[in-house]
Amino acid sequence: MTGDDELKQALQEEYAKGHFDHAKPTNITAFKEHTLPDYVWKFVTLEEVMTGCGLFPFELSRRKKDELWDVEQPGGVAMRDLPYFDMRITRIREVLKEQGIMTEGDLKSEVEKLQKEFKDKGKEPQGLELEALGMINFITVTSGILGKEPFAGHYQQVKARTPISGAKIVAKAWVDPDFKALLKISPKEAIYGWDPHVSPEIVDIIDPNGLEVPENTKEVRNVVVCTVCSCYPREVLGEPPLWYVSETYKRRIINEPRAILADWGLKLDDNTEIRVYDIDADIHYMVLPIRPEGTDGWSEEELAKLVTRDSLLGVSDPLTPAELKAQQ
Amino acid sequence: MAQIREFRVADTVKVKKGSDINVRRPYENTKPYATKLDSNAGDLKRSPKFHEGIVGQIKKVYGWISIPPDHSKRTSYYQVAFNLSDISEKATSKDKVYVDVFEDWLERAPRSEL
Repeated sequence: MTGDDELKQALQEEYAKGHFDHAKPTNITAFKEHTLPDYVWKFVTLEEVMTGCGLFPFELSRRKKDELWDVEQPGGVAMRDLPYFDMRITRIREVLKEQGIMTEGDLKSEVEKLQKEFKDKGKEPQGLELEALGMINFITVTSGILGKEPFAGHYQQVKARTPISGAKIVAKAWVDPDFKALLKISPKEAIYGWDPHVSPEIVDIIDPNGLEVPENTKEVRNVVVCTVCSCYPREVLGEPPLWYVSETYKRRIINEPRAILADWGLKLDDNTEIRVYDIDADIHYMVLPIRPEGTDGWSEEELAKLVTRDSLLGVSDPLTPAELKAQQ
Repeated sequence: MAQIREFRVADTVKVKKGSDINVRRPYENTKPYATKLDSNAGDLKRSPKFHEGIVGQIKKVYGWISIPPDHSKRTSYYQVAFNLSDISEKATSKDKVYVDVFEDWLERAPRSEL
């Protein structure tokens, strides 16, 4: 089986389980949580390479989203009702057109080429797959505005950012008190400088923001949100889950944090303090959860499997050994 | 050039009521993306609005950061804790929100207001 087929199969399984539909945390082990459709990874790469090399400022795409918030898009859905990644693809398409980098006709001819290609191979495009791939093809091949090589290089980095990195960091902190002490004072020093086995396989050099890792205790529960947009500790967790970027979460976690966490299955004692971190682009946050009970003597690798992406954001607890067994 | 910090950890501070022009604050209570933007005003600080006029406590000092719109000026940067009960009626006294705020946006407040 080729890599593409494997990915497709994995994705179908994930879709069947409803993991891309999640309006609320699924709390599955980080090692099963990192699959996204390939075109989404490629699109994220394009977005970052274009803004990273200064083709246009990223702020333009945020403004575009605001401008088009209530405006119906081709397909009859307003920007605010589009799925998260479709929204991102749409706003970049509009910015490229507005900036005169790509015309409607350019995109149309790319999409037609791809339609034919997909048909010949008997593949069904998902969502805005054709538009995303069309833009990539136009920018990196047809127009040659950006070369294929920087794109391919950055694609590897983008794909290497998954919640597995976060899970490994947490597992190391659970077994290594020195690492944990440094992680609390200077997280980046700990992650990138302490032990190469902890850092992502390919260290992402485009990582300008600071990082904080607040620790959960019996008295304090930390939760991460970005109420303004979708700031997220991508360097250690990859792309955000859909519940994280939903308006329900952004609103309720500020207005009634205890109630939304209870609705999502996390009942907290009335005496537990909840600290909601409303993060921004300058400093990102990841939560250090409490080590589950019944894991004495477990190795770092075993412990990492108990960590879920949702527990790194503070809305769930890591898995218990029994829960992990049930998921495997 | 020496720069002196105005506040220290555990100081009580209040977020000034400021201009909306260069601050993008989409999530106000009613309309999610009600923004008042002057597109010629330069770079934007993206910030929530709910902490405006609220008293909080400095929890951490981060060092300096350049400040929008033109990044020609540096300011200290702080992690500030606010009581969510000051922001939402549904929150309890044990609920806090931590936001990172520029020194320029903060003013000293009496401890009794916390």
